Amino acid sequence: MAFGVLVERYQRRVVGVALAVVHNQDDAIELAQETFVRAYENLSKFESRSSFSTWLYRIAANLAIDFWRREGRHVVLRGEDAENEIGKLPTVEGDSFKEVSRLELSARLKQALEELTPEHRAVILLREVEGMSYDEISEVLQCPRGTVMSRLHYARTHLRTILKDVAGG
Amino acid sequence: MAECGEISMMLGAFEDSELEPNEMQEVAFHLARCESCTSILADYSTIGRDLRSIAAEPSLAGFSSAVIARIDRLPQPMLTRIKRFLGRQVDSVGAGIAWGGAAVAVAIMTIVMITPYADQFANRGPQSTAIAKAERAAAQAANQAADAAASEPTMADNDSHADISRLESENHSVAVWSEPRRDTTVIWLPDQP
Amino acid sequence: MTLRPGSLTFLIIAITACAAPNLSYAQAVPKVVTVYIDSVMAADTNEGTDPKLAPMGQKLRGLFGFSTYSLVMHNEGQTDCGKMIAFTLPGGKILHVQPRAVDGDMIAMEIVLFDGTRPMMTTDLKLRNNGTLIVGGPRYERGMMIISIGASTGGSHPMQAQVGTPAQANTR
Repeated sequence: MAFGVLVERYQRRVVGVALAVVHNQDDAIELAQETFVRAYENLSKFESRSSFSTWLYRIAANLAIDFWRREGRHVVLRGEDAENEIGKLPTVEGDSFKEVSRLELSARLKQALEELTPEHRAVILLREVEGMSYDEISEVLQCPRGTVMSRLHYARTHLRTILKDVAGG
Repeated sequence: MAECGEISMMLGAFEDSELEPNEMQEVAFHLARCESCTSILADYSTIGRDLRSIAAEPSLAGFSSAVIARIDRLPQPMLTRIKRFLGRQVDSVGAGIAWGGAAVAVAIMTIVMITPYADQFANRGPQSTAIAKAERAAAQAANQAADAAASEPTMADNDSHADISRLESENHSVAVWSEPRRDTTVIWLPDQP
Repeated sequence: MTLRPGSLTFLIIAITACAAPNLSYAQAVPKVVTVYIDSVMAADTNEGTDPKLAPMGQKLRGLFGFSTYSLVMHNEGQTDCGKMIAFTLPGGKILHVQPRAVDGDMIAMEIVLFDGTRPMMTTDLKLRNNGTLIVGGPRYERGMMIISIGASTGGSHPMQAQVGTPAQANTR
């Protein structure tokens, strides 16, 4: 089937976008499959204003964020409130991370990601894991480039503070 | 000289090479003098590396077929349902009639395929057109990317003189930016703290 | 005795046919590339810009904003496409440059910067003929090192420092 070729071409990235938001493999695969079904049903609505891949990733991101909110996972801070918390984060002086148990750091990093809102988690993972540019992230998440930058800044600052605590003991 | 508070907001974007050239300069200039901000930048690089190392690579075996199966279960256009119904009827009458029906179906399909209306009966009508459109868009994007990689860069008068195709460094704080106004490209390679 | 038109024509064709292989041979000869390396120390010591950096001083001031730019070493060397040329730079740095091809106005090359024996950076790029690549950031003495890398298929580079006898490179 012709559509199968498109699925195979974009499946890895679509799963990656969904995973960046929901942070659960099974959910991400399910959401990615739903993404392709939605795309198939709405192919006639695809216009050439954006690339096909961007349109596809946007569907994936919207489905994933809706899923996350619907499932009612715990959220430490809403996105807008989180921005105000930046100034309250303690400044961390000194050297870079000391050597800690890799398992402990990995577990702590995963937990730290869970503490981010889906919007903040999405931008940091789309940037660091999926390697998307700020413009690409802006298109996929349909938010201004400045918002992408500020969310990335918050996410990195938050992760750094938490991981410094781990490294510092 | 910019203060650390101002620069710290830009460190992530500097690491990602997403600042304007003048901003890249400003941050690089500050980093050359500030070990604290250099340390923060190194921490951001470490975070990125750690995130990539813990990122799971989900198994996608059977993913494509699962998607197609879900699509097949979608409500079908009326014409496709009629064809399926007729097919079931042909099977139930008997082998001889079934063979005759198959011959008739082949003849009908042959006539349909060579008429201007062939597209309406192949696959799923409007969907095939849309699929083709999406495939063309994807192929065009792939071709453009391949052309951009293979073709000679057309350098404008105010270009940056260098086209970098690969950059490897154990330094995770490396950054690259172009300076068309000064006809050069800059690779920033600070010492690791 | 005069040449008949037919004989003259044949003679012209014969001469051209003999010259054509020479033309293609010229294209097959490996291009020679001259590489220019300027190692500059940049610092905030308010000593101004080294006069020897006259061609690139303005560019460096615009790029980095330091108050002192001092030429530490100028290197240059010629190599054929496909052959690597090595430069020993200040601060224990070693630079390997290997031009791969000259295509029109672009020189494809691989550049590897070492800190002693440790590779700091490897890059594949196409540099415009007489163009410049700047590598900055490593600390050096009281400031930062800036390495300006230029390449040319001609005899000189517009941005090279004005020195008497440049340090020679090792060619492999």
